[in-house]
Amino acid sequence: MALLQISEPGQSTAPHQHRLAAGIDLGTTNSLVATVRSGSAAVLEDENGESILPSVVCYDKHGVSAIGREAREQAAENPYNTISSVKRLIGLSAEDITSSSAGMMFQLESTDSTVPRIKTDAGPKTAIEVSADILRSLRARAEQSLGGELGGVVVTVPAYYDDTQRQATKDAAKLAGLNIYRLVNEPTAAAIAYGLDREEVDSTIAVYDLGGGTFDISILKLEKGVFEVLSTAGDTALGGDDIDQAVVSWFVSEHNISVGDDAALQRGLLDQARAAKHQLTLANEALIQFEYQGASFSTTLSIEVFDSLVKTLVERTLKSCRAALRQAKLKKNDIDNVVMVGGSTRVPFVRKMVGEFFDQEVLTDINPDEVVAIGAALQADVLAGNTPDSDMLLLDVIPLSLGIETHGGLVEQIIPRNTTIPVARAQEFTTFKDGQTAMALHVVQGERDLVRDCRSLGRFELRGFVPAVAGQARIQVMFQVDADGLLTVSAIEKTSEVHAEVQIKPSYGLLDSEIETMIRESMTHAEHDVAARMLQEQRVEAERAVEALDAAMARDADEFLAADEKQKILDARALVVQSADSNDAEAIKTALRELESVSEVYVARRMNASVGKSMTGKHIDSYDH
Amino acid sequence: MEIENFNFEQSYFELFDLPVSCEIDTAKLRENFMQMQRQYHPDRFASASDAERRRAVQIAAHVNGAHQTLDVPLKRAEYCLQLAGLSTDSETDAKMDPMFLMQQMELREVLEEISSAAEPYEALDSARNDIDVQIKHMQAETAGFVAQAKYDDARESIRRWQFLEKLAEEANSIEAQLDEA
Repeated sequence: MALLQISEPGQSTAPHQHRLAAGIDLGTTNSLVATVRSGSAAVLEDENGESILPSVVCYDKHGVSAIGREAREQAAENPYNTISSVKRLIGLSAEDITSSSAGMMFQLESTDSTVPRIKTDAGPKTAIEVSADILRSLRARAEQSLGGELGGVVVTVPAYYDDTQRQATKDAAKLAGLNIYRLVNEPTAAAIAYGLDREEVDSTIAVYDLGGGTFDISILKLEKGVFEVLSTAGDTALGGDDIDQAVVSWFVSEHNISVGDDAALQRGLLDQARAAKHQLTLANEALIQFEYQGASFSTTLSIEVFDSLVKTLVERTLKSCRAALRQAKLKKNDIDNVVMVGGSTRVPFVRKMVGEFFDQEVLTDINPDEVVAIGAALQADVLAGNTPDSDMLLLDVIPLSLGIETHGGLVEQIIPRNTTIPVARAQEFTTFKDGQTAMALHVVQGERDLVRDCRSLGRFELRGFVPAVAGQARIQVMFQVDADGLLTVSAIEKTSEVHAEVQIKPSYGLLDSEIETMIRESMTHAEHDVAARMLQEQRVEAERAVEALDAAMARDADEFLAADEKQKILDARALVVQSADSNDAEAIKTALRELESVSEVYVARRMNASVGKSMTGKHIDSYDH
Repeated sequence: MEIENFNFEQSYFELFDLPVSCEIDTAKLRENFMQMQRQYHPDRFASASDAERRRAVQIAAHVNGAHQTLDVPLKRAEYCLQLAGLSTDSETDAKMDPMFLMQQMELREVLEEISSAAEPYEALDSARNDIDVQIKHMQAETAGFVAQAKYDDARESIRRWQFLEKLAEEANSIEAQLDEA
C-alpha cells in the first residue's frame, strides 16, 4: 500500500516537517545507501555491518533467494540464476546485449517487448526488475535504520546515460516503491560530497569516475554553492569489469585454456582475477591459482603486466577526458581539482595515469566506493526540504544531443549536448498533404549525423490536427527536458490553438502499461505470499482438528452423542475437509469455527466423563492406603 | 512562491535586468541567472505539487534558454536584431563582399591543411587566432551598428560573423579529430 501513497508526491506531508531522505548509488558492481543524520552524511550498514551491497541477485522458483554478498558467493554454482552487473543491460535491446561482452553472462528469453528478459527460475526478469530488487533491499535497510518510511530518494546514474537508461532507472525505483526526488549524475554527486568542504572557493573540478561497468568524466564549476556541469563524456560499457576480463584473457592465453561458454568456469576465473586486482593495489605481484578439469593452473601476475593491461583501458578513458575538456572549452591546466570516484580508481596505476594527464595530485580522501552515495544523500536532504538555509543547487546538462529524423535518415539536432537542463525548444512543422490530421516524429539521441548511428528514443505520434490545406498548418512541437534529463514532447497547432494528442512508442524501454503490470504483480506477489502462508496454516489447523475428532469419535461417539448430534458434527467435519481442499483460507477458518461450535457438547461431555473416569478409576481404597 | 506570476512575455534583457545591447555586463548576467535558478529550479519544488513542479520546469527551462541566448555573443546580437523585428536567418541570400569571401576561402584552405601539417596543433592555434581576431572585429562592428540602430548594417556584419563562427566550429572538430587520432 505504501506504493500507492508514495506515488503521489507532495500531497501527504506538511511543509517543514523533517522528511526521511536517502541517497542511493545503484552501481554496476556494488550499491550503497546513505543518509544525512545530524548534519553529516554517512552510508548505512546492514545487520552484519556491511555498507556495500554487491549488485547481485539470485533467483529460485519462489523469487529472490539471495541478494548481495550471499548471492555473489553462490554465483559460481548457480550462474544462470545469479544476475550480476545488470546495470550494464539497463536500456539495452536484446541484440545490444548478445553482441556485448556481458552477453555471455545472461540467457535471454525471446519476447515481443523491446525490453529483453533474462531467464531465471523465478521466470523472465527485465534488468529493471532486477534493479528494483536491489533497490528494495536498500530501501528496507534505510527504513529499518531510520525507523520510518522514506519520503524520497536521490538515485544516481552515470552522467552519460541516455534518456532510455534514465527512464529505466526511474522505472526500477517506481517498482521498488520509492519516490524519486531526482536522478543525479554520479560525478555530480561525488563533487557535492567533496565540494561542501570547500564551499567558499570557486573552482573547476574534473570528476573521474571509473566504476565496475561504466566510465564518466564530468567537468563542473563550483561557484557559491552552485554546481554547474560544464560538460560530460564517457563510456557506458567500460569499467573495472573490463580489467577483470583483461586479466582472465591474459591468464587463459598463458595457459591455453578454452573457456568456451562454460559460465561457471568464466565466473571462477573472474573471481580469481578480481582477487588478484585487489591484491595488486598493495603488492607487486599476485598469485592466480585455478583448478580446472582436474588440473591446477597457477601463475604470478606481476604489477608490470597488470599495469600494461590497465593502461589500454585508461587510455580509452583519457580520450573521453580530452573530449570533455574540449566541450567545456577548457585546457587541462584550468582544472583545479581532480576527484577520483569508483572502486576501480583504487588501482594505483589508474591514479598515476590520471594524475599525469591532469598534471596534479588526484583527490582520493573520500572512500571512492562511498563518495557517490554520500553526495546523493546530501542532495536528497536538500530536496526533502530539511536544509532550508542551503544554497546548494545543481545545474546539470543533457549528456547527449537530442534530434529528430528528417528526410533521408538524417538527424536534425534540436537540443545540443551539454545544454543546461531543464531546457525547452520549440520547432515548427507543417503538413505536406491536404487534410492531414496526424504526423509522426522519430526522436533520437546521439552525436552522429545518421539516424541509424544514433540511439532511437521513440516515435511520437501527433494526432487531432484540424484538417487544412497542405502547408497551412503550423504545428509547434515542444521538446522539454526536465531536471532528470528526461524528455517530454507536446504539440500545438498554432493557427487553431488545438493541442495535439501525443502518443509515445518508446524504441527501447517499458511501456507505461508494462510498468503498471509489474507493479501490480509485485504487489499481488507480496499479498500472495501472505495469503499463501495463511492458507497453509489453516490447512494444517484443519488437518489436526479432523484427525483429533476422528480419533475421539472412533472411541466414544456413540457413548456421548445422540444420532442427530453425531450427524451435525459429521456434516461440519465434511465441510472442513471440503474447504481444506479449496484455496480459500477464510472458508477453512469459518468451517473450523463451525465444527468447533457443534462439537462443543461432545467435547464437554467427554471432558466431564474423563474427569469422572479418572476418579472412578481410582478406587476409594486406593486413597486409603 | 512566485511561480504563478512569472512573466514569460518580457524580453530576455528585461528578465535579467539588463539594457538591450550587444555588449552586456556578463558578470551581472551570470549573477542574475544564478539568482533566478536558485528561485525557480525544479529542485526547489521537489516536494511541491505536480502542477507547481511542472510550472517550475517550464520557468527554469525558459530562464536557461534566455541565459544561453544572452551568454553567447553571436546569439545575443541575433536576438537584438530579432527584438528590432529583423530576421537573421543565415539562409536568406546575401550579397557578400567578394573580398570577404576570398578571405573565407583562404581560411578554409588553411583549416583543411592542418591535419597534414608538421605541427598540426600549432597550425590549428594560429588558424584559430586569425578567426578569433576577425570574430572580435565583427562583434565590435555589430555592437556599434546596433547601438546606432543601424540594423541593416548590423545584419550584414552578423552574416559575416555567422560565417566565421562556422569556421571556428570546424576548427573545433579538427581538434577533436587530432585528439582522437
